[in-house]
Amino acid sequence: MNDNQTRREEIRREDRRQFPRFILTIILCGVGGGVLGFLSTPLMEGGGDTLAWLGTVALPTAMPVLMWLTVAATLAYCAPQLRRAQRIWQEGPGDEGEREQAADVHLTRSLTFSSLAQVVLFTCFGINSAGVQTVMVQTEELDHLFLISLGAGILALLVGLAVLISLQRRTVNLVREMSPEKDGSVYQMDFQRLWLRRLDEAELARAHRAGFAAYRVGQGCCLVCWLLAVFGGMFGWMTWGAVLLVGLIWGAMTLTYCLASRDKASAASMSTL
Amino acid sequence: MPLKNRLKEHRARLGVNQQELGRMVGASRQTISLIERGDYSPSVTLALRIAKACGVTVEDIFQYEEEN
Repeated sequence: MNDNQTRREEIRREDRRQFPRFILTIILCGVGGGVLGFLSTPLMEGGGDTLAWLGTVALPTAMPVLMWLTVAATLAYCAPQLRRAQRIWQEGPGDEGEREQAADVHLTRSLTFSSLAQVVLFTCFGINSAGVQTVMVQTEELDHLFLISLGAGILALLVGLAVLISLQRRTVNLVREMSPEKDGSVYQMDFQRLWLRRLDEAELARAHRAGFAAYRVGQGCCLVCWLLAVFGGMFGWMTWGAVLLVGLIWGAMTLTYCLASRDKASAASMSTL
Repeated sequence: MPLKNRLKEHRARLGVNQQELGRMVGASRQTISLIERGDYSPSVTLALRIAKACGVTVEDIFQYEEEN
């Protein structure tokens, strides 16, 4: 047997060894899903009206509270982190590399918190505005209450975006102070392209590592969302639009990854993705 | 990281800061900082450019040590 055949046989042996565990996992997931579906039917029959009211009326109406709390928390946490980063860079001990490393800790905390806050704001506003269909057909009192809620939600979103843009501007400007070769103002429409153009090999390596980590988590999240959308469709909580949306995001992510993984994809073209 | 370096010494000998060295070799100040801290191993191209800027060989700046 030559080397290729030996290698092929080794690969087949490894596949045969792992196959039983793989099949067992699939069966257990299927059984688990079936049990979940079976148990959820009495739950829906028993508490279906309450759950429906919570989901379609109470939650959309209450979302602006969470939105305003998010805006307040973002300001309360991120602004001091940025001030601390600025102070360390301008007045801290050590050479510029040490000061930059110390300031970066606070910048990263601020950026992570504000990025999550942005997602929370958009999600909450989406839930709030969904009440337009479900709450506006209720009683007149609920109608008025919901209109106030929707107005508060729109205001929270606008104020939240203004806060986030301001925080991002301060972060970017501090990074540009620390690294003068960086280009681009936050207010430019093609800011991201300008910024990526100036990434050198270490920064690109870090961006690619982060991108791959995000891709892996994204794949898992898409699977979970697909399951939720399928169950939601089966029990009438959602329409097939939810599954289609998950499919579009999943497809775009997978296709982008596959195209970027091609041998001939150069660093320059990857930085434009 | 198994790659140790003496970049900070050579940069001090040249009398330039991280930003100036970065400009000389076509890298960002942050990359020079990461290399000096040992948090990033440069590509062969960048290592050669750094060595040329410092007027020494690559081995004078970067040493590979086997991990125990």
